[in-house]
Amino acid sequence: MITCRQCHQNNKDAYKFCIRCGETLGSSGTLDRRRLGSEEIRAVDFHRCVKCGDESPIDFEFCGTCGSGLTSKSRNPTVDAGSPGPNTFSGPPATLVVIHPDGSEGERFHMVDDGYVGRSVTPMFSDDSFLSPRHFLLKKASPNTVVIQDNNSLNGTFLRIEGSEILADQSVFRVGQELLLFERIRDVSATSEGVLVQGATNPGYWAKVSLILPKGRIGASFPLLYNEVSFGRENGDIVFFDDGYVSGTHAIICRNSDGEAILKDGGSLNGTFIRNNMSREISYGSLILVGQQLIRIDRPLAAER
Amino acid sequence: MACLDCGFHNPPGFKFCGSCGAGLEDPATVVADHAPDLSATGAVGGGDTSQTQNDAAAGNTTVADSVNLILIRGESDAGISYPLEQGTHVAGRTQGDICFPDDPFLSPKHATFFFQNGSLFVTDEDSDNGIHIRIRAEVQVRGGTSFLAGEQFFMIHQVDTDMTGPQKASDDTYYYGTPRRMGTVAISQRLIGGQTAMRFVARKPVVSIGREESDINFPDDIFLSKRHAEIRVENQKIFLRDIGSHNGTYVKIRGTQPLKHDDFIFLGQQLFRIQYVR
Repeated sequence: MITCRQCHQNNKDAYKFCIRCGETLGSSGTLDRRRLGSEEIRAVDFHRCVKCGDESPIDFEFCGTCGSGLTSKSRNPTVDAGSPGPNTFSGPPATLVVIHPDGSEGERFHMVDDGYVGRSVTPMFSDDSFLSPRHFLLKKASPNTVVIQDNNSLNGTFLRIEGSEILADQSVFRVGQELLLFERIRDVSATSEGVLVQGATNPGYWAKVSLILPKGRIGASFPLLYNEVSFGRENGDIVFFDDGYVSGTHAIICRNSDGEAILKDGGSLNGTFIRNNMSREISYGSLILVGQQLIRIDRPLAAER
Repeated sequence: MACLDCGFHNPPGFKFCGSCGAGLEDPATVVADHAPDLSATGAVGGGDTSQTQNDAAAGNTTVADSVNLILIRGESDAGISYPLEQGTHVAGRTQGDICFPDDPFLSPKHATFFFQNGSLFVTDEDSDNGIHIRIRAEVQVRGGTSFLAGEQFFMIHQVDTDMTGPQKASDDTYYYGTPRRMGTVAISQRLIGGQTAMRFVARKPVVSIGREESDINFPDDIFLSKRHAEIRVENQKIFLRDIGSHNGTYVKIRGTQPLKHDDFIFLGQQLFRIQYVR
């Protein structure tokens, strides 16, 4: 039960808005996600460095301030949330390299062991309010790859598309600053009484792409009629003329002969990113977009261990 | 009560949708006076004119002894005529005296017509697709109102005008989203079966719909006029009007509504003209 802060009406937990006055009900939209997810996303425990006195998250081996080893090894062993199979490789999984908007390299974070990256567990990201406290999990998978797993984060973990990606129904992808939802348009079916919902005859739309507004609301939707639809700032079927991060021609969605939707980058400057909810093995050098960070997942330094 | 905007089922008596926050009050109340004056229409165009004059000559058009419900097929209305005498008349796919068993958009019992003081009224019998009436003057609509133009089926949506900064979730993480651009009203195109295809978010207070030369164009819809209908937003109120189209613009009505002489209504795919007879 959620009590409306405006009119004190009691509302069911699933409601996003007060049934009486329409006031937004605080956090309901995310509460559900959190309940469905693991217990991982709770306030993170800290332990104090004996040397400098600063606090570091409990699963850190080294103090974030002075770098000395943290002795109380009560490290959180819950790095198996949705993990794919046994991890036979050990050692540092990766070095995270922040890529600045101008393409230059910024701060680096040397991960010492498999674990979460997020606002409350990775000190250099503590100011990024678009990152969830524990946003994604990174695990060493092979000498050349790591497994990345989004941790039911609010905004998701996006991978830069190399080559092409199959777009499943309800896929989310990013072109410049535009956050886009891909949805299939399916064949129609009648209600229980055999009544069809009235509407226009489908001229052959097979899917649509919609702008996602904050809080998951939908803005404009663009139905896809042809087998190839392009996105860009100046050229293309769907144009975002006021988004400076979109290239002239940016991305393309094709329908192949099997009816699958394929998303390709069209040679854009900033890349096309797809939200990845499953655990996925990626090779070193891959770029990911999480929160406000563009991060390159680099091979860990051998000297780290 | 199902939300007209998002379809979420809310307990009866609630004023706002628990899922999307849209108002749940009946949008049709504002349409009640959809035809204030026959002479002031201008919106009724095309080939109806001569027919209108014939009927007007036949007698008084505001109070009737009986009413004919004339089924329109194609350009002419020389089709079937259903004389409605005093009493009630049910129309639907399988029930009542006006039946169209092959129209999949009709509910088994779709609508009831009845007389009161020489005027005809229609009641929507909680049909799935409702009754759409041709508008003659500008009407006020709201989020959740549907309307027909040409072969297109549209829904009007109120847009979130809250332009404040990013919003936080419970763990203080801000929501991602496409950058906000100020919108005035959204119009979506619904396909048979209920899926939304196009959704257009207007950035200016007046938006036109048509086959070409409009803000939203459907070049392949030969039943749409070049410039067909217009939606206007003023002081957060939304208005719909026909801008001289050939085939008219039809807005959904709810509950019980009066029908005047020369009104046109859609029940499912069936188009009727109301003819008052004295």
